[in-house]
Amino acid sequence: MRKEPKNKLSRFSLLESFQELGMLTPALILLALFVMTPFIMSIPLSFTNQKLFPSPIPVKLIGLRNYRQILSDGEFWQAIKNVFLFTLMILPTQCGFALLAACFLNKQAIMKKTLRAMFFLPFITPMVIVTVIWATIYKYPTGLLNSFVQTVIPRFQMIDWLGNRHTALTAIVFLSAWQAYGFQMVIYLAGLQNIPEELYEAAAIDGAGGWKRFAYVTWPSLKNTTIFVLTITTIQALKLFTQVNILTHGGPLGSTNTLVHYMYEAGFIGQKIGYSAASSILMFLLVFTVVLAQRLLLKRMED
Amino acid sequence: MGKRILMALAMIIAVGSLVFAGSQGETQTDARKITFMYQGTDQFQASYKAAVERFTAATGIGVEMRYAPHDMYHEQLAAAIAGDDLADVVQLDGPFLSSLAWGGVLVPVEAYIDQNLLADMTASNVVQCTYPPDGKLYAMGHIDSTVLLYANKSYLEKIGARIPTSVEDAWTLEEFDAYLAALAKLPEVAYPLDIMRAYGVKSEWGTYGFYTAFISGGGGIMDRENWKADGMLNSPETIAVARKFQEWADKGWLVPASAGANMVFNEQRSAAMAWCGNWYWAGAYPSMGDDLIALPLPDFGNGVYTPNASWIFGITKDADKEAAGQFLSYMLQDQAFIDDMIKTGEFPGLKSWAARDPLYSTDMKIAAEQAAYAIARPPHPAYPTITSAFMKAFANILDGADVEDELNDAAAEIDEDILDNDGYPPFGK
Amino acid sequence: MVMKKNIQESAINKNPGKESAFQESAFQESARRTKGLLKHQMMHQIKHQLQPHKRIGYLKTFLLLLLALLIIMPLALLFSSSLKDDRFQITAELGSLKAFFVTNPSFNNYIEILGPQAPVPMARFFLNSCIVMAGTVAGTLLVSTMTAYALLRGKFRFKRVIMTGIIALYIIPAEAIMLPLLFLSVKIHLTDTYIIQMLPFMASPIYIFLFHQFFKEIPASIAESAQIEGASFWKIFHLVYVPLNVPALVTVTILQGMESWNQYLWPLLVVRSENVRPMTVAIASFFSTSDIYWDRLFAASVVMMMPILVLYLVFQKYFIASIASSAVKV
Repeated sequence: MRKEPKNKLSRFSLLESFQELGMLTPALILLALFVMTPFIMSIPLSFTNQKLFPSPIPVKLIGLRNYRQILSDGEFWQAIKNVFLFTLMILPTQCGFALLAACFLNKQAIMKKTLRAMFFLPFITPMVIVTVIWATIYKYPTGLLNSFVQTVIPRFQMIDWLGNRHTALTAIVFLSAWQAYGFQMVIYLAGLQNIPEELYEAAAIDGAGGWKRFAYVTWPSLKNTTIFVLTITTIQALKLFTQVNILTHGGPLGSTNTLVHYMYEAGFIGQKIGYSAASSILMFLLVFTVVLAQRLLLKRMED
Repeated sequence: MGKRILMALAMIIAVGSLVFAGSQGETQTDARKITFMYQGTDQFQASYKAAVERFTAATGIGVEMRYAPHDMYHEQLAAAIAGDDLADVVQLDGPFLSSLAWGGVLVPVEAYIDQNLLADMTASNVVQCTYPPDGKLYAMGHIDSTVLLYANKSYLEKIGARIPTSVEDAWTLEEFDAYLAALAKLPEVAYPLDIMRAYGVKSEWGTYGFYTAFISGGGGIMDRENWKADGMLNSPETIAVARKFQEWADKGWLVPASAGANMVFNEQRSAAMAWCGNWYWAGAYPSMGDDLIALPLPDFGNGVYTPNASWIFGITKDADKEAAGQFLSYMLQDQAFIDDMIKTGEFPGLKSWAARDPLYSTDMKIAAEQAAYAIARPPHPAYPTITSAFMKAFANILDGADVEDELNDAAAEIDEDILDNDGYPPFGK
Repeated sequence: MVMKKNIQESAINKNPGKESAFQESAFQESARRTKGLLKHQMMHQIKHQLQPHKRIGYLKTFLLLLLALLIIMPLALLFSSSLKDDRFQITAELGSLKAFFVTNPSFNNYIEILGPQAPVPMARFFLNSCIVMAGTVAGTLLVSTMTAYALLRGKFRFKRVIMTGIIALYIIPAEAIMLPLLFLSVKIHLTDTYIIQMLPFMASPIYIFLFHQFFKEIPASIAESAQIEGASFWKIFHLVYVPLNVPALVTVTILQGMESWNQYLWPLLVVRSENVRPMTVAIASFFSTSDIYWDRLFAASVVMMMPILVLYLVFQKYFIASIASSAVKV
């Protein structure tokens, strides 16, 4: 992205700056009130032994004890490993398929509406239902997937997809990608609408075929969209929770445990508010580092 | 286009806030009024509503009902406590009684409750409502629960198993083990036992369903004298029971989580027995009929112990306690209300109800009998930590982790929490 | 309206001479050259070349349809199960091929949850969900477009830092801030209202970021030329940037609408009375720990999905409508 041109024409008037600030404030107030304040409130909490229910003995400051316990907990590190693996697997699967589907659907002339709606359907399925449906597909021993694979490969040894620690995370990846690619697809579709038709016409004159048109027109024009999609998908992936909480509770043997699930278990099941706050702060710092690094990397690619 | 969108948005906001303002205007002005916080399915909500209406008609005391969904009930309760917005009567899950009594949220209820109702409570019901340090009732319940073995009768006949008819002659561990082995050899049986791993071993079922097996084997989660987990949760007796479950899992005898919770009663009938709560009957009976029998939990060597507890009602510290007690006494003795409970197949916590319940006085009689063998989950303010540590360890053990390591870790986690809170005085004194 | 036309016209006129927002590519060069040179006939030829051959079109449609069917196969399971009246039959058949077939379809489940006999006023919950969704979407569109624009074209410092900060807020998992937020709402007596179900989601980092990326596509030169015409910061925003980004507006409407529609944990915490209870919370009560009412749950899920599907079908035509306006942007 090139630098903004120095604007000599506009004078920095009082009204202008008033309007700018006026447009910015509602969001800042809402974010401060509903996201930042509660998060900042959890910082002092993370140094205490606060529980959910009231206690007749006063809540104690316990220093860095929560942090020390978390960092020496093997489960926490396993959760970090799991979410990174999950992110690495889901980024190409989900974003790639979303882009592909968007490109095909964009220029589709016949049955346009029906096809788009069908491709969009998984995304509007409530997650609870998605997990119920996929649990029956992954079912062991008589699930649809096992029966299908066995029909194709008769000697196939049936697998307990969600109950085996080597396959559980991958199974969650496919379910998640199926459910959520609609999100990226819709955004790519909107991005594709912004590409001017003239660019394709010009490409056609220069004799560019389908693939070349994609590589030289579509892909570069989707740059800003792709940056958005990659950043958001990364954060969403690192925040993985709902599917895991319903389907595997982090098991078997912690192989699908995630950072948010770790925090949830401490806070909502163990009712250890202080401990849970500490783990959410650690999680924030970790994911923020990743996102910042990614943003700098994407920024470099942009220039 | 943009302008029109903005206009439409403004309209929506305006209409929305009007509706919002409208919904605020509904206030009642009763002379005497209590508030009641509860959870439950649609049918339960309807039953509570009807009972409340009858109560108000009979006494003139108004009841403001505050529903909070099951999944986030304790969080809502905690927020109400912190925001000084606590209801007079609150429903709570049995094992959390100690936590709330210890925190000073609940008060002893005996003085405010009708004597007849107190006398009507089953032994197990009294256990779930009692706070151990002072032995007083801090809540009232009408519903209870228990865990049983459910078996496919024809499979048991095929292997020539002895069929217990009372809790007294429950299977011993050796018998149970031998029957599982024999059932595993039947061609129709893929899995001899379903311990409901489909519920998710971390959904409280992991503790609720199995803690009594450990007590029955001579171990347990907590030493109820000194309130420590170390020395009990990692005792040789506890380890032996855990090893037994792991052995069954290793042999492939237990229905895996992903297979679902219906393997005993689906068309293939590929599981022979189920280890499940009293609600299982309602699901299995329609397809199995008289081929389904309910049996007492096996004796792991130290006598039969059975799980208990359900959602009970407490009176809070700043409540109008007389009115609250009057309300509970009325509702829990309201026979129309009890009829609703019978209709949904709930497990009776009252003797008079058990006697007239068509299910628990016949096919599921053994369940009612088990109420005399109930022992509560560790009634300790650290219960949230206790259950989460235990469930995790038990789940990992079933998945093949090292038994001793897991139990040692869980015991350490529990004791550490207790230490962090100075032993939760007056416990452990 | 006259103003709007002027600005857009001037944008087109002034634009070719100025820099474009894109990296200059060879294709863009030739696009500009050919625009004047090409004869009508040549354009026709190229148009023809761009349109895929009809037979290929049918083949592509067929393959896409096949893929779509494969993708929605799991949902067929959901739909067929919702037509089975017996919840024990559903669990028994789930997991075998029988799950896809209905021998005696019945709408009883739908009647049970929506009809007058329903134990809870599901129609009211449906209305509540609609109100919360409409309010949230309206608020989100307004707040995030304004913020994104101010952060892109405003003349104050630290814009990039603020934008990164806002993205950082998206990292905070909802589960981490829910309890403090609940305690806060109880203190300020906002629990059990529509407002508390909408406000926390209106300033959504993700949609501020999305508009930011889409607004970037509009060349700064357009804003500049509009400014010469005397348009104010606010006017350029709602007369140029908002109307030129209908696809993004529609996208956010659909995405945020569906997010709001499926909100579960937050309303679970702040809603008590039936007056403001959304459908998700009501449906969750079919899922009690001991007993799952699969029949009603599946029917309710189908009912839940319909409004979003309708929303999508209604709004998706704006994806196409915006093509006309996209010419302005080069």
